[in-house]
Amino acid sequence: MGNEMEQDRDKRIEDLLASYGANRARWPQALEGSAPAAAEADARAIDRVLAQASMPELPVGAMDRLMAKLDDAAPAPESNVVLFRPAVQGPRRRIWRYAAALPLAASLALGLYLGSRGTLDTLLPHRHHGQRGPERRCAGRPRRDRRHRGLCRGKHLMTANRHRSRPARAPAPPRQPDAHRSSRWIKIALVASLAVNLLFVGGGIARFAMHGGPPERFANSSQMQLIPRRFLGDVGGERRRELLAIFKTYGPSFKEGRKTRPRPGDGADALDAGPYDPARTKAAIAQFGSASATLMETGGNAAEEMIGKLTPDERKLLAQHIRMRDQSGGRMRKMDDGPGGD
Amino acid sequence: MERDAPAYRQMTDQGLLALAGARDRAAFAEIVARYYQPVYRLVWRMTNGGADAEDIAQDAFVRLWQNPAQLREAGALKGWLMRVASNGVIDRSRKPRHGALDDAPEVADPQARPDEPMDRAQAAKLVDRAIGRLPERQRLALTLVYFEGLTNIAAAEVLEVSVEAVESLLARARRSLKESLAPEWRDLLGGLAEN
Repeated sequence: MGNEMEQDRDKRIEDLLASYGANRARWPQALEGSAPAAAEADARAIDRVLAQASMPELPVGAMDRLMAKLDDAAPAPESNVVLFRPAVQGPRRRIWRYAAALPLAASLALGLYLGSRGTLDTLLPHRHHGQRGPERRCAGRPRRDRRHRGLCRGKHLMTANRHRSRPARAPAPPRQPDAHRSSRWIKIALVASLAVNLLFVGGGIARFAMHGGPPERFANSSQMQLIPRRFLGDVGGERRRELLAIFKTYGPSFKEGRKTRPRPGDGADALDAGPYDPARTKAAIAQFGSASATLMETGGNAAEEMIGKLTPDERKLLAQHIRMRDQSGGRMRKMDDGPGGD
Repeated sequence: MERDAPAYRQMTDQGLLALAGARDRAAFAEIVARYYQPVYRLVWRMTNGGADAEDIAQDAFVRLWQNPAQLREAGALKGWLMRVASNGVIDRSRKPRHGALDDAPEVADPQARPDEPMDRAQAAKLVDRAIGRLPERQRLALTLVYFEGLTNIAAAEVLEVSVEAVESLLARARRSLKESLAPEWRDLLGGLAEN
């Protein structure tokens, strides 16, 4: 320990000799100790050479000329300030250190705004009403499934963002010339990723705050393809639960119908069976059509029962929603039929 | 209220600056008396004895006279003047120069002979020339600390760098000086074999 301190002191003495010369009165700190003789002699020699440099005197009359010049010098405006301060990190850099907060705050604000308007409803996790079969869960369903995409989009986005963030947690690569540049891009990617996440977090918070809960999906209503989801959204919570209870009673029938309906894969098996059997294909199609008709009939019965319990005002509202859905074309239909629409 | 010269000489820089702010010429004259010489020497060194050294040194004082309030800390008056003057030198160096030692044609000294010991004037000229060949910031650091006796902290403020950077500039300046004067080193040291 003491040896290390001595080494440090000797090194410092050599540095001081090299910078300030052999005259210790010129040193900024008093250090006891000796330097290597060669270094000491070298510093002393340079001092002797420097001592031979000229020390110019002020030219004769220079002070008078300066004082005379002051008469011509008009006072400068106050703004002409030459700041005298030590070199420190300027305020500009300190501001830029927090630049990432701006897009994040903007993203959160945008999320709050969109969430309060309900624009993000299709992207946020939903609360389901009615029957929710195991096949509706996010896990285990292919992402290509368009009906499924809207339901789980929020979750996938979060997951995707988590995947995107992974490079930051990876062990740091060996330092290379462009390592600084790549780390900057990683930072930008992280900020962008965080901004997207904040957008959805903000959307979710605003949705809860403004509408008292997550966006709602009325899964069974789509099974008869007649009742627009927005109608159920407009009838109010208590009444909606009453109407959806009707669908619940039909739940087992729907479930059974789906089970007995042949898989589309069966038709595909018939198509590429060798030798090709047209009768088998025809039977598969007929079976599919028959099972679908049964399902449609069940849905129709459920709709009929529900419509039978509507008040005149509710019937008008339903008619209005059905017309709106027809008029608004594909986009509205997609939103209304949305995930789970059979 | 007019004071006599000894009264001004007793005053601190802060007091003088306050009076100069009130357009007291005698107070400002005391500031000039205190700092004109070192500021002129700095400019002379930085311009390699250029003919415009006096103009540049004057400009630093004129700027102070025009607005003494721009100097926030009176304790840093000398450093401030040094900094304004060195900035003036840098500004001038970007314009076409004339009259500096470096630009003067190299004329052989008729009295200088290799077998004769170097006289003081010749040695001074050699050393001045070698200092003039140093990079600008090394020359400024050496002038501030070695010739003008500024502390390393004050020099760091003038140069707008850290104290460590000042020390590095000083060490490099001294090393460069020795290398550039290597052929005349023995003569400069008066024949002593200190290489």
